[in-house]
Amino acid sequence: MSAPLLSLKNLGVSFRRDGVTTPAVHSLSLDIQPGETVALVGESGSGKSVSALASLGLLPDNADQRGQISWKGQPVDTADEAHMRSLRGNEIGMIFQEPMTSLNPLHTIETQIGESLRQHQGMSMAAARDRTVALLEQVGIPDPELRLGNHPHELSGGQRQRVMIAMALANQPDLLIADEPTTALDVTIEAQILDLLADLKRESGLSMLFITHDLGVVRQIADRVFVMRDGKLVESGDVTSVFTAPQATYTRDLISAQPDGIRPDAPVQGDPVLDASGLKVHFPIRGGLLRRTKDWIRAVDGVDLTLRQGQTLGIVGESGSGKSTLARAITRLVPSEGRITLDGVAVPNTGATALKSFRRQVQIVFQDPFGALSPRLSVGDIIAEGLMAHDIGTDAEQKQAVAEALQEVGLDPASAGRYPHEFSGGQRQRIAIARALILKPRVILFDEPTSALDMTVQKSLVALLGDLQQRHQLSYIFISHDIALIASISHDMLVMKDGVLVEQGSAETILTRPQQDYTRALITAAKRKS
Amino acid sequence: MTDLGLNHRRWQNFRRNRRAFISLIIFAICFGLSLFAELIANDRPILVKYRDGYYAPIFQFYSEQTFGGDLRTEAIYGDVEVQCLIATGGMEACWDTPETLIEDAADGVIGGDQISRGWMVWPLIPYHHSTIATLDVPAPSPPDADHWLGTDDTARDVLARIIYGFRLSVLFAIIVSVMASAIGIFVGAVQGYLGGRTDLLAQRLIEVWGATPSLYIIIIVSAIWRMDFWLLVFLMTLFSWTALVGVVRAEFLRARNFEYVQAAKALGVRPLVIMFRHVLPNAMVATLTMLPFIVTGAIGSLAALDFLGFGLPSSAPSLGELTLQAKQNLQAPWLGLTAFTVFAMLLALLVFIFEGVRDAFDPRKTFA
Repeated sequence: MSAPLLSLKNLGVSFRRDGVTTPAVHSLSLDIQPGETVALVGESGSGKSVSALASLGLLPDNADQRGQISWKGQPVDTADEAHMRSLRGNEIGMIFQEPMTSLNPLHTIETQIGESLRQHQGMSMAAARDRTVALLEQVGIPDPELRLGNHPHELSGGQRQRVMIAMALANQPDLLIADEPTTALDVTIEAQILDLLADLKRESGLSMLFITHDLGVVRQIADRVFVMRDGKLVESGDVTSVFTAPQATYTRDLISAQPDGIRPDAPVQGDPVLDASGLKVHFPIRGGLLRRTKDWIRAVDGVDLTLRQGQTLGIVGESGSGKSTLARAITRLVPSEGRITLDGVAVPNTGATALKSFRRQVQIVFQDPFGALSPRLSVGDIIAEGLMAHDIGTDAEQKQAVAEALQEVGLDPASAGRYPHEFSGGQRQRIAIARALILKPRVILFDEPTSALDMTVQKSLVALLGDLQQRHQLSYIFISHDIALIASISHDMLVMKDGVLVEQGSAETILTRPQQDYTRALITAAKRKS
Repeated sequence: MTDLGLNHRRWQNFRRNRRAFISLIIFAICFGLSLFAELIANDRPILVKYRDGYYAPIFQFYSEQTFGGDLRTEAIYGDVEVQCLIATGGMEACWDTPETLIEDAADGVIGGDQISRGWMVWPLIPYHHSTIATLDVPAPSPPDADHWLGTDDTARDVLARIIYGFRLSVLFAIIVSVMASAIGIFVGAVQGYLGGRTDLLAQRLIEVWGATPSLYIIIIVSAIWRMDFWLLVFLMTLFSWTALVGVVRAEFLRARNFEYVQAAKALGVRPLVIMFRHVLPNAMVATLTMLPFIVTGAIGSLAALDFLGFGLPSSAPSLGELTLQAKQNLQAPWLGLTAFTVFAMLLALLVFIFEGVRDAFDPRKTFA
């Protein structure tokens, strides 16, 4: 066998801050052979991205790096800036997670791709232009000549990621390092990008180091897998053997955390709790001298839904489908047209006083576990807020209720005095759920509550929600981009696209007999991962 | 970052900035001392022992009769006769030969008789800012052992006046800043949180208000009413609260869409509670960045108004008035030099302190 393309031996990384050293990676060794795709999998904080950055010498100044890195059999000194620069972009290409922030918004596509061609290969303007067009064609951008003068904001997310790939490929690198390249994309777009990467690999024998948290992606694209946890290598091997016969418990947990199947308990025909009909949210687009309304953005355009007692209604949609706006409209956080009834009683459209009893009955849990809790209040104060707002109970009773709510979501009641930053993402989401629970609502909306969380955390959170639902006969509206997750927890499902409902029905019907092409595309994209 | 931890870290950052920290210490000492100006520079003694009683003239009125004099008006402790009365325990002969009697009284015996010897404890500077001293030379008199920084053109002690003037300037600036900030934050908060029509209307009103020439308003008002400290505080506040509205409004516009604000709304929390409990803390950093401009601006404005003669009455101990005297008495350079040095030090100290505060609150430095 020839020398591996990239080889890491006992790579260790630690960060210094305020005199404290925090280890991030402990002695990681891996080889990448020519033409091979290696996936580095792990949850947040596992050290997977740090390892990739270390191999390119891109770590910040406060990092200490140990171990040996060799490129094509030659040891590499990552401190040698000049040498590293000739490797980066020239022999090793890199793509990042966020295509919007990785591209310079002020330059055209042509300038951004052409820059590295002229810099590394000394091409003339005209030659660089031809090469750029060829590259854009290769990554599947239609009408590449017309796109040259575009700025990044004129492209869609998927197209931007394609441009990023074109930039990475510009100098025909031998190795492509991709750090979560599809995480920010919708599933249908993700599938296209993964196809593109697979094609590139087949055509040009490109090697790839693919960093991701998503096992479904790994299964589609990788030859070999390295599973990392807390900076340590947990398991490695070729894809099929790791997936079919995982050795480490952690790998088994990761694989079993992938949502699949449909909710086992059959839907009980409960009474309708919440009913919405003809729900519309339109945002005006203003323009002209007098800022008259020229047009409307129809974020939600005529949605009907019924939520039954004790059931979960899942809403699936990709970014921009209006699903979050719908959640805010149902909870009366944005003004909307249409009718909402709770237990058959119409809910007023606005007015803090008029909505007071509605607010006790219907609660919402948001996506971002970091943004949803005020960083300046203690956990106890955050959870007790609803009680204070509705003047329920004395101080001592409120304290008692907070302790019970914390216990109910599986947190230590003694943690009421601590602040949100002391908790992990999953724990914060539990705090947010406790805050929603304390008013003993009948309906809770969840707006992508798990999409910022790791898979194993998502699994335990979903289990907690199921528990709470049974215990308190709660009705849920659960919103997610992940059709597999929705199908595994919902009784009824809605599929949303561009502000309207595409399809609705029981989870089983939609998953097995989808009527619409869009639903089918979503299901196919999800199925490829499992 | 807990609030505690965050503030601790900010304090550490502030202390690491040596210049700002030393400035803060110097300023704190100067301001702290100036708060007790009455005990440092006064034309009344701090403590008087007369016969068997103790008197504190700084805090209480005593007529000359209290010390065996004739007048019912307040005793003038600087007069040699009154000094004699106190030293000798109220001897009649003080009206004739006070100096010799005071000398005589030092051993407690006058003419063979035991007397009730009295004494006085004077402040460091035996002049109040309004005391008109008796001079051997025409005022303004140059610095000497009696008047360390000389006197101004009405024979008042310059050092006493700047001690009181320093206190007046700083207190004025603090009161105006606190009031202007409170109003500005409230208006900015309401605007940013409610948005829409309220915001639009208030924005236009503030633009008109900001374009009002405040100097003319102050001149007009001072022509109608007698200007005093609180009227000037009111007028200055009236025209400086708009400075903060913009930043606070922007922070509120940003923060009202934070998820924890939305969550509080969904819980049915009242808008006012949401504004002050959840959103306001976000606006505090921006406010603190603006505050130095308001404080130094207030000090500058007060001095400028006094210099122009539209500020406080000339009896008030004002640094601006000292500057005006310096301009009118170019033959007395100690006036100008003193005014310049005090202003330069005061403003430099404040600028250094606030520079440190701003850096300490800079999130990039807080977490570095």
